[in-house]
Amino acid sequence: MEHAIEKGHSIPLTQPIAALFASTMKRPAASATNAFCDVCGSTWAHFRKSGRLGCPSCYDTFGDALAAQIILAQRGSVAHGGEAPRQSSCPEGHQLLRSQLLRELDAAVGAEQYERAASIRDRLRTLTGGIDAP
Amino acid sequence: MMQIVGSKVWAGEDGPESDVVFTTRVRLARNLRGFAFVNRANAVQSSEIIRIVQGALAHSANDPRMQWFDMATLSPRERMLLVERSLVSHQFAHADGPRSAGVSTDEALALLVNEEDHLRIQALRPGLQVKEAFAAATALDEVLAERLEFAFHPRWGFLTACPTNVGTGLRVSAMLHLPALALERQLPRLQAGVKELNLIIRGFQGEGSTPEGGLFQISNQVTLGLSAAEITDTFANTILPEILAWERAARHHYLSTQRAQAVDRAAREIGVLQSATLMGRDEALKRLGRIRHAIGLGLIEGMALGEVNRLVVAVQSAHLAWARPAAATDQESERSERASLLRDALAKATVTQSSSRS
Repeated sequence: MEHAIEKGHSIPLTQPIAALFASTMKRPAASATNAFCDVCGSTWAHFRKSGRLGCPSCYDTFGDALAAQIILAQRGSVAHGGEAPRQSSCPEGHQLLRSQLLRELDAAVGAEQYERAASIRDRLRTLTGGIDAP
Repeated sequence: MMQIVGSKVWAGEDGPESDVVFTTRVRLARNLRGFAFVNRANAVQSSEIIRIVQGALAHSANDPRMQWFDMATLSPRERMLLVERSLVSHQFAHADGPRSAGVSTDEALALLVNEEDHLRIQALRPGLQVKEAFAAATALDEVLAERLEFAFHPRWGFLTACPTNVGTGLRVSAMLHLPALALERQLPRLQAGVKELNLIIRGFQGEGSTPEGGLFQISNQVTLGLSAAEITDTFANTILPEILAWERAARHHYLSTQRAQAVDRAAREIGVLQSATLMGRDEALKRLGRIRHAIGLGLIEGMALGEVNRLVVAVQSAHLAWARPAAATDQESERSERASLLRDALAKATVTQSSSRS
């Protein structure tokens, strides 16, 4: 590798994300191995393979096994230490999105775009559930 | 579609510390609450995300008035123009599914919708301008947050498709020109050092690319646990000054021990670029890197660093074709156009008179 560096050729200085996770990974708990996210359908196996989660809810679905991976990838950091978004103390953004979704749902139903209407309904349902409620 | 003179970054501007720092970039990753991430979203959802984001900006009193480029409707050449200017990644330019890039008129700010995350806010500046780039990215983040609700977790902060971005979603990076560390065979030490400091180092144009012309991108690896301000402060005030000092010391050492060779190399590079009639992209970038190095050492006059920065973009394939639409598009014509552009640009470059005394 040093030879390649000195010649100025392609340098494998960082591993692909998936390899990073695969090589540092302890075997996850059985519950995580079998788990899938009931919001987006992602599985733990999909995450292991791609290094990507499917939706915000996956962070809770995969619980401790995922937490262990995040802490490894983040070099020991265990929790967010920065700012929260402004709207967390002010639900205006949430409501704006909700009212926008309701308007879009009306429009989709009016235009007989049922696939789109179903997708909007799914999102409204997720919003009311609230994955980041304390 | 775009004017290179409109670019604040590539129009030949010199930034602070530009002898070593080519460009600074700050990127924030955000996702909308209530949607699957891009890799699990269907086309309908992805299109809705674009509409919601564009609508949020249009309704804001602080709309940055971006020009929107819909990847699906751009020609391959137009997409490559955006890639060559570092406004979008290769992955973004060529992926499937609805995705759109908003670009400010000075091209210093871009908003990518449906890249790996729903939103990638990126600010680009010439030279070392971490604070300025961070301020610009944060300002757009705040405008978006006025009307959009981001996916946020009490423990993990801003949620991202890949957990390597979770927390702040912040990646601050600098494109560094480190020719002397390469010549002095210090790159393995640099590699070990940056790993120790939890930094990522890559070749030009990001992931999977090669370090053409001695250009390296260095960025923070850890996005969780520190505030965005702490990450940018450490990067701008501790890490980069150290790497800059190291490269400058290597340049000083190189010049004091191999001055005659350095002058000879500069003269040869000028000679080749002033007379070559065919030139490939990789060769052009390598030679421009050496010219950049020689200008930084004070060995070349009649050419500014900013002009080299402009050329690094202008010699790339899509830009060449775009600048001369009437020209034939076969490989030999492209190599000929590139050589011609470089002959014109280097016409007034000479080895500095005082430098020939060794």
